Amino acid sequence: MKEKNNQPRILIVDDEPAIQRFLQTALDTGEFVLAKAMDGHSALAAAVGARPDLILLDLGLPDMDGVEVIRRIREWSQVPVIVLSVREREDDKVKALDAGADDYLTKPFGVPELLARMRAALRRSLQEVAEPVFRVDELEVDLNLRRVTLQGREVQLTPTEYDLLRLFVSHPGKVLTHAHILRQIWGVGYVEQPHVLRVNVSNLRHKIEKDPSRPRYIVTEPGIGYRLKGD
Amino acid sequence: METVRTAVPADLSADGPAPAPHVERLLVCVSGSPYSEKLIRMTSRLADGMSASWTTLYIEPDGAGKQLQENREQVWNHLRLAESLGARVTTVSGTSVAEAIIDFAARHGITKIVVGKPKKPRWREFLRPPLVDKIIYLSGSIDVYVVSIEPADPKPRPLSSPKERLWSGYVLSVALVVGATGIGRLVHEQIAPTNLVMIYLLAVVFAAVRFGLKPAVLTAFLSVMAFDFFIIPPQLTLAVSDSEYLITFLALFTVGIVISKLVATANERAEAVRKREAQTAALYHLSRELAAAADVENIVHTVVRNVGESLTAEVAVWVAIGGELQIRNPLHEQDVAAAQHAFRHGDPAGKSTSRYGGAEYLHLPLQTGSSVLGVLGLKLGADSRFQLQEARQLLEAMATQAAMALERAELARRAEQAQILKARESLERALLNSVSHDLRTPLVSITGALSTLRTHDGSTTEKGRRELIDAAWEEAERLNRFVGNLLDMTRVEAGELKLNKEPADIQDLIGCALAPLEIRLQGREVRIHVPADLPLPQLDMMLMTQVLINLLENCLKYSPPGTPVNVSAKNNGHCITVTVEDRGPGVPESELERIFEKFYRLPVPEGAGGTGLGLSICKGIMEAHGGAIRAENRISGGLRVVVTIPLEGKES
Repeated sequence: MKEKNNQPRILIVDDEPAIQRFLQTALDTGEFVLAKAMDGHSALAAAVGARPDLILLDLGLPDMDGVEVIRRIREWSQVPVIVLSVREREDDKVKALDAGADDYLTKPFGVPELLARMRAALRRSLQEVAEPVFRVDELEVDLNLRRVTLQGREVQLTPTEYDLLRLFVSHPGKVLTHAHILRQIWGVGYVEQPHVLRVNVSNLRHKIEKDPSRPRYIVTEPGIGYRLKGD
Repeated sequence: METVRTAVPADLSADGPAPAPHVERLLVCVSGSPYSEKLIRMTSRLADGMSASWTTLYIEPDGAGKQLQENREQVWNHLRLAESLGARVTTVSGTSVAEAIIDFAARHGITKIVVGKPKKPRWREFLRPPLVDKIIYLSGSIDVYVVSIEPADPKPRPLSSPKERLWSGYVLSVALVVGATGIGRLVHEQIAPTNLVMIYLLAVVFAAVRFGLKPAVLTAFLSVMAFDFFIIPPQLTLAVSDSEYLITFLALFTVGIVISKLVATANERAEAVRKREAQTAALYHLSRELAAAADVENIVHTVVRNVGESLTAEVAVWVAIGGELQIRNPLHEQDVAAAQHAFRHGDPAGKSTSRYGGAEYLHLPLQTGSSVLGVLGLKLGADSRFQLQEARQLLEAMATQAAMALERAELARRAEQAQILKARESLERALLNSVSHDLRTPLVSITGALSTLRTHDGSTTEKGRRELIDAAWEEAERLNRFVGNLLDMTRVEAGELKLNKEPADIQDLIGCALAPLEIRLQGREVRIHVPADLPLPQLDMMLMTQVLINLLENCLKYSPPGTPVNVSAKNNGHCITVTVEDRGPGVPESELERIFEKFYRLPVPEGAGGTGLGLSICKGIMEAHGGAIRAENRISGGLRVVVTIPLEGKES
């Protein structure tokens, strides 16, 4: 637990009083300092004034598009943003993630899930430099040695597969959109070539997953992208 | 000469004893000739009228020549027609047609025979007695109906035009007078001239009856002249010796004129009656056929054919659809305008009217009391017996009939629509009831649990509280799934499924579907079989994941806990199939299609609590992908659902 005066400040942006009330109550664990905004403009003002460490943002705001709120914030701040959205708005989720949101949660969601995501996002933002060795369950990636081991046995990856895994490892728990991964690994020209990504993820899974049909490490977010399971 | 050699097929002779005599049994004998059709239809009507059974017989001549072979197709058509009209159809071979018919009739208890008698010149009948005569001769106690058949044209032979008739009338009138004079000259020695007048009167009456008024008047005039010139002394001059004859001349002329007039009037009346009768008959035919025509298309067809035949005219009927007259066939500009005028104003227009007189057709509105339903256009044929003006009355009566039929069809259509609308409304009400029930049931549990926890007074145990919370949580999840399903269904139904297609790894797809169900799948073996070299079909990952989730949820719902679930994929070349199998009770064969219908639920004893939407959403999503989904029972027990994903859109 962090010190009282160093509690993370959380800005909750949602125009529904019922959801505001629910989140205020659910997050009132003494762990966070809470602030609220009911629309996009007051959210932007609060992002400047309250200097939050994390923003919970509902995409359906009365005055402006939630994606636009993210874009404006990203112009000057790298504060983690977790998007709250209903299920049938996949496009918005992808747009929000591409605009710089760190994660998303589909309404309705459970509080334990929300807390886990919030903690992961806060940890990522505090940790400026990636640890040279990443470990989750039986998978270990040593970024210095470019060495990947599973249950202590070394796994042979192609350069592309390694780059892909390194990208995931650098953002544990974060949703990476297809477009983002393609741009990072293959370059802007490949954004419209999603099948290379599918094939490489599939190959990577066959090498590091015990059952590639039920992956434990690289999880697919259907229609959006992939996420490396955190701890 | 002919020998009697009739072979009756075994199945007919095995028919048993001849039927009871009081039942009428008709027999019609057909050949390949085009008149047979008329015969068959006539017999059908006769049989209907007498509530009799009837048989159509074809006598196959022995040693059929080439020409007869060609004829056979026609015969088959006729036999088929007879069969469709309810006749028993039989073929018998024989050399003498008449004897074969009578033999057959006797064996099968036929009471009446219908035969056709084609019109042939008398001399030919004399040389070769017609079949009819032979049949009548042989028929004994069997009644024979003879139907006369026109050899070529089924229409009555067109009469010579009135003008031609008039000229030939004058010529024949002169001939009559010449004849009368000849007779007079022969007998004037023996008979007094005053009595010879009667011969001339006879000629006038004859002319009046046969040739009409004007030739009769001419006959009367010529008679007076001829009588004076040839009979009355001094002969061969118009001079008259005895002035008494002037009275005879006057009387002859007057009586001749009067007779002519009377006969002509009577003739005209008879003609008028005949025409009216024909019109009534035509109208009767039309109304009877219209009564049988059910839809607009049939009505139009019936009107066009009937009116056309009755008036020997070209007929077109245009029906208004949605307040606009639908003129389909190309027409002269004037005609289109006239038809539109007739439709808009409910007045006749076009030929022989004051509006758009230049049109080729006469256009009559098909009008009932309330509205104009269409337009009937009519162009008399060159050989029509009718003048447009005199046909107008009949035509208008027919138009009224047609309009009434159209209105009736329209009313029937509206009634049917109202019926459908009503059925749909009641279905929607049922759906609404179902939906509100499904929404409310989880809310009951949630509200109940929360209200107990809220007014906690220490009476509930910790375990009880735990159970209430779990129940509320489960119901909330169910409610969420149901709302999700409803939204998906709405999108599927509204055609708003925007597919976000991307190349998809089938193994990944299966993984995505299994992930949210991991907790519920615990304790079950999930066997996954996906070949390594599957191509990447283009699909919407999100929606397709939903399809597999729905299928897997059904497995969980309907198969006993602990039983395995199989998920497999296969490349079929042009498509990829994904199969989900369980070990549940399966689905009755008759319901295998219906389970994909909206709100269809299999009756399960425990009330597995489905929404009745899952599979219909799957179907909608698969169809949006150009794919398919089907269910079948596994031979070893359980249900197999096969999803087909097309590979057309794959990237090369």
